[in-house]
Amino acid sequence: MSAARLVRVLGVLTAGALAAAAVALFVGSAGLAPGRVVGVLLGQGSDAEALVILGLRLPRIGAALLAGGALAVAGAGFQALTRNPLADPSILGVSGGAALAVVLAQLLGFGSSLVAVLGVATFAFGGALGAALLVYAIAARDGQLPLQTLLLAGVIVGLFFSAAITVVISVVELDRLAGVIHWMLGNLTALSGDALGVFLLLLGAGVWLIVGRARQLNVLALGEEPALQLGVEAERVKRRVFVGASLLTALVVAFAGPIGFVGLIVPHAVRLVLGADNRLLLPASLVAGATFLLVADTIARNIIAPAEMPVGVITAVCGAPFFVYLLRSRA
Amino acid sequence: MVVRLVGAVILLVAEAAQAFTVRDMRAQEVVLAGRPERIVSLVPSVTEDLFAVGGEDRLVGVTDFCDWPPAARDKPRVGGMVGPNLETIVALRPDLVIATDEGNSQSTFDQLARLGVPVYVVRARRLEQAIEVLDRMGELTGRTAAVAPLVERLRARVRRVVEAVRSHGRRRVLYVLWADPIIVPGRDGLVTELVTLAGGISVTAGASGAYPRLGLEAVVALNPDVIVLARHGGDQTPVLRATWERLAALPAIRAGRVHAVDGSILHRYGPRVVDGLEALARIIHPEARF
Amino acid sequence: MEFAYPGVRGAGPLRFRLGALTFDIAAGEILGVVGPNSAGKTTLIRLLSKVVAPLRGEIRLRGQPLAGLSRAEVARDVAVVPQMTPDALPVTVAEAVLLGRYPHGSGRFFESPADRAVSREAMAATGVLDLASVPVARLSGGERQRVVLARALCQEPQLLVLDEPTTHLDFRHQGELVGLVRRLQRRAGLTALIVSHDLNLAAEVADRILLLNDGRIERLGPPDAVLEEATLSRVYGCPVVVDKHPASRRPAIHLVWPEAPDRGSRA
Repeated sequence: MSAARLVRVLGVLTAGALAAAAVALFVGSAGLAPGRVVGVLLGQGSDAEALVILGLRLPRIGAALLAGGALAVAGAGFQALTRNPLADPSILGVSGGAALAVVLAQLLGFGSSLVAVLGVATFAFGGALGAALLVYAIAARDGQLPLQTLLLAGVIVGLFFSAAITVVISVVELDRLAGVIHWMLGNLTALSGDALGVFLLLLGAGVWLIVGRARQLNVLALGEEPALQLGVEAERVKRRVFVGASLLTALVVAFAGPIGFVGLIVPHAVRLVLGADNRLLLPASLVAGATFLLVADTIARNIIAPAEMPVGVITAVCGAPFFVYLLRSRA
Repeated sequence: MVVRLVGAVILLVAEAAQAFTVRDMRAQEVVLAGRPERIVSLVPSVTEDLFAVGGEDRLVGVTDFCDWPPAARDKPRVGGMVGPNLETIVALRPDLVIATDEGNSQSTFDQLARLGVPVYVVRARRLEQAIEVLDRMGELTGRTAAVAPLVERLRARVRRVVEAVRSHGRRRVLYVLWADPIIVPGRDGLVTELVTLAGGISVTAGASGAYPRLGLEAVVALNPDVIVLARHGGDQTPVLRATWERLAALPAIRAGRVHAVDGSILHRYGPRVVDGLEALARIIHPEARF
Repeated sequence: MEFAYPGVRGAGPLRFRLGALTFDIAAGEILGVVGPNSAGKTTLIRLLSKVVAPLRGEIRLRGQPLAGLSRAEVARDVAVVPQMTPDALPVTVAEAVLLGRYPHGSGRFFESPADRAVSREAMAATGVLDLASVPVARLSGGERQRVVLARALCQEPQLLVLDEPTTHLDFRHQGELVGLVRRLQRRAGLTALIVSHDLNLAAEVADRILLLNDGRIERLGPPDAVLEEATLSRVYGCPVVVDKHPASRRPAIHLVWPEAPDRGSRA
């Protein structure tokens, strides 16, 4: 594992991501011929065509790349933190908190000034962070974060929020219900330039928090006591990775709703091919996750055109069989 | 309403000189370059209204649920009400999208705003508002001349129904929109008002919201005289056995005072809502003549 | 190097019960730490490596309070070879050993060429160099023990602490380990502290023995002096017999097994 290898692998993966993005730019419900797409990119093309390519497809591709990368790194981070291969951003109750916040925001309805000013995304973000804080508060003891307790706390908090969401759904007005359920299936939308900027910034922060401790996570894999004996400040590392992974999860749920499986599958797939060194695994998961979600979303918005399938369906359809394969090949 | 008609006329006259600016039902200004020529409707009721006023040649896109009149099914589809396909909408080059905040999603509004596509929002929880929507569709498509007699005919039919049932007393009516869970019209539901106009008292009029869900016990306790079950999926489909079996505990069911009605005309607020009113009146007061 | 722990006799829910301890280890010496279960041997290791902090009092290593040192600084001085390795780690031997270089560059993301050189030497010294690219999961217990030892050596410690090093090893591998530790002591001047409940191992390998009992130092001195029958029988609470190992002439401790069958009636 060396800097040279990291650069090489990331280079290959990034090329893959760019290729996927290029393809995604050419396919869509508007049925534009490839020549027209190129035309738009060169600055020609009609207003409507430019709107489709530059106003819809390109931002959506950006959102998919950012969300996929965030989920994959969060998943890999949670897996390294808890030393549990089944950890996934949703297992720690974080996306449940965001979902409840969004459902409540939808209940208040747009037009309610608070929701209008803050936007649904802010609500979701707040809900997710609230859930993360709750999990942390439950699990932390004497400044330490015992992993068993963390996992249990996460599961419990997640269950609690699921129950709360069920209650809300059962009383929400009929005409709002469809909207709530639609959100809960996870949907990537073409985000505005500002939103993409915020997304990118916070993604960078979350990735820095986690990848910055990749070497320490490698040592932590030996167990907490051996890691302490090798000089790793285990508690600080755990806290930092927890914050980073929660931040990334909150971010994605805020902008795209709960999308499952990416954080679970992508790190495993990358590990199978590239090994378990977190210094390679984490950055590679970032790019691989971005590509994976982009491909899934491209399928989701084209397979039953003009209708759109929620991207979470595609990730689940890929994810479940892959996971079965993983389990069986290990056994 | 008269004021609005006059206002629309003034606008029409002044139109040649200025951009076309209207206020939607949120009281927001919607600024267009001229009268809309390419309209996408995200609301089935609005689609019906547009056809009714004769403005369907300006309609370029509808939702998957816009199935009336039959000609609407030939218009290009843009997807569902909650998650319509934006690319498809944009590719139709609309100069106006008509939507409702009681069925379409905020995300759609945000995206359209970002893309610079004007959005006109309608709402209707009362019959009067339903007629207002029809009016506004006439205004938008420049068919105000056709709208006035249409509205007058609809109002006349409503008056006839109200007159005809007046002397026959009020019957207690339970309207069941859906049986599992039991969905009924509440205080804010359009159907509640229609039941009242049709000479009935909706036993669920006290429930809050537009279409709340009630438990079976609560419904039984209300003990209606007449039960109206909504049929979904077109005029002729029979109501599912399972639907009324669930309500078998009600005396009205046992006494056979159960009737079915086409759900799509009562749950939308297009011009057929008066057809729905008449259907309700015939059920509640079969002896009345109008 | 001296270790001083003013000590706290805990009561109730406290897990650690160590009284005041002061002892020193000479450079190049092997100190064997023995004693009955819950005498405090594991706690000692944890305190030494700063895994736990004492509730009261202070630990000093070479005169410096441990509390004032960062974990990495401690790890450059003290390396622990734990008895259990998580065996599910999907790393190669080389990668596992390289982890031991962390305390010498905790700020760096990648290991330096110097790190790799030290790691290679450590693997050579413990005889696992030709296993460098083998996944750890495929190694035997003895080989894994040597990998963990190599990793500890990468820390370039002043003091190597071995925690029950022979617990899961068969005769041959026990012997190999003893040979390895002795070679390291001779050639590299390794200072080691070996915690073991195997008195015979301690007797064989250690230059001095620290006998812990109930959180206190019972005896500290050469094996012949410490490992004698009366003391051991008292501390362990059961009869033992001590004689001389036939080959090495070091003390050999034998437990007197209870309920011996009557020899005469077996005929």
